[in-house]
Amino acid sequence: MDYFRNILTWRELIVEMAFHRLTGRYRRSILGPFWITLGFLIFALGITTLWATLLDRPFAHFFPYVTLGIFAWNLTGGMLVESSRSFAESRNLLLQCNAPTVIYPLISVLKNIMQIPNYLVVVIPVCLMFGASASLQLLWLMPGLGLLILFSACVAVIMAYLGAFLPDLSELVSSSLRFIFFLTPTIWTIDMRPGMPPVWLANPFYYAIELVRGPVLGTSEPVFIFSIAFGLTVLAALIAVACVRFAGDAVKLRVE
Amino acid sequence: MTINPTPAQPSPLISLENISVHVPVREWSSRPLKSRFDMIGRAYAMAQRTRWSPILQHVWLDLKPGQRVGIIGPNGSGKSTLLKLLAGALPQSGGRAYRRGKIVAILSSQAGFVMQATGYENIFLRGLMLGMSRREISDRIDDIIEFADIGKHIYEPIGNYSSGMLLRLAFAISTAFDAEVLLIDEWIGTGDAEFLEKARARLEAVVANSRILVLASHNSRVIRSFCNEAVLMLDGQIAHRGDVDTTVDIYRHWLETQKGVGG
Repeated sequence: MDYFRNILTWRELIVEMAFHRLTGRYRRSILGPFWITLGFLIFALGITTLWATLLDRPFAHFFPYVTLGIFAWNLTGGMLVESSRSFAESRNLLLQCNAPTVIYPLISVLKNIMQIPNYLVVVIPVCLMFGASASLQLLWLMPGLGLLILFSACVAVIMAYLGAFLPDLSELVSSSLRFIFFLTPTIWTIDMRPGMPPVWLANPFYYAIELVRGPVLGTSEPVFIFSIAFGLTVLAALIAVACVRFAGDAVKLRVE
Repeated sequence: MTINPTPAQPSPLISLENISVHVPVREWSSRPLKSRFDMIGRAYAMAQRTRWSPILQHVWLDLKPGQRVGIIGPNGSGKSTLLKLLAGALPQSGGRAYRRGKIVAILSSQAGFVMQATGYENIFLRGLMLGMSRREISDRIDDIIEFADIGKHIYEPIGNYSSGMLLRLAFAISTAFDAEVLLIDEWIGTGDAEFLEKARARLEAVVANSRILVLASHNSRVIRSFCNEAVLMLDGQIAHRGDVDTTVDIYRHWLETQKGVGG
């Protein structure tokens, strides 16, 4: 508990660093962070148009599905990729500041959370216009989003500490996620190939995405998804705590 | 008969007991994992064989209120590492370290600076990095801006600043906050004579407000000005601790010996 209290004393630095990481990249651009929104919209539109054309199905059938899938994927994937190099990127600060080392992956996590409004600007109108299901399942949305963030944050912390000891991890994570993106029903639906074995059930990213998409579109059973995701989160949290406990200080010697 | 009681010795605010710090050093050049086509596990193990190099060994150090300690020694002797360890920014590999009181460590002129952010924003960033709250920084921001003497450039990205402006800003921020233990690395001794003159009074005030000062520097004038004792670091160990003049003389003698050995 003292350790968590110690992390809280550094909350202002975490927020400030996350804000500067988010805005620093776009300082010289005209649109600024709105490029996140624009890039997301263009990608979702492109994929939806492709599916609608190739499979001869209505645009409205795919658009909210693809939009929500990419939103959840970008949220999780962004945290994982950035956290895996968070210690290397913060090396200068890491060796000067006596803050707990876990704040560096938390900065990456918070930066990605701060980007959520950029996605919601597209996601909310798309879902409203193209048929989100107005049912009690929507009550699972906020807890689902909260659990998605918590799960992603725990895995991000694990990736950060592994990245300190395995220098090529960020490259491996980036490359792997490009492949896993297509392996996961992010932009394709599980009914596209009838009779396909349900391999997605063994994919943690499927549960992560359905935490958000299922309540809105009714694409999955929320109790089942939430239960599995909760179990995965507990496991990830235990591993993350172990990483902080056993490698919390040693990581500074690795980047020295 | 009145017996004057012996004044109690103040207890140390920082205590290092048989401290050692080892860092991993890769013996082979690092090869990206994915560029190997043989068995990944064996190739990675071969490419990543490391040994642990001692950069601090057998360090015993107590710092009590009233002490102004200068750390001198050649490059690579462990001065900066010792300061980082005292600050708690680096963990020890062996031994025990105890710290209490508010520690402010000014270890680098540019650590915590974000080049795309303005000087004004960087004041908050660096202050937060030093462990201050936004309120504490807000209370002192006018003083910082005035001392840094950057004018309206304070609202421009610091990537546009000259090295002198950066140094003034870093110094102004780092010396704006009270500390019980003040740790300063040798960048304080850089800068031109005009900067050093301006910095002297401010540093004297900050030092006077702190209970302990530890200052690493190559500049023996800076050490003599601010410190009442000195520690000589050689090869990661404390070779001598005593008054400043004696320690500086021992260091000078060692340097001359090294020149003689080098031919």
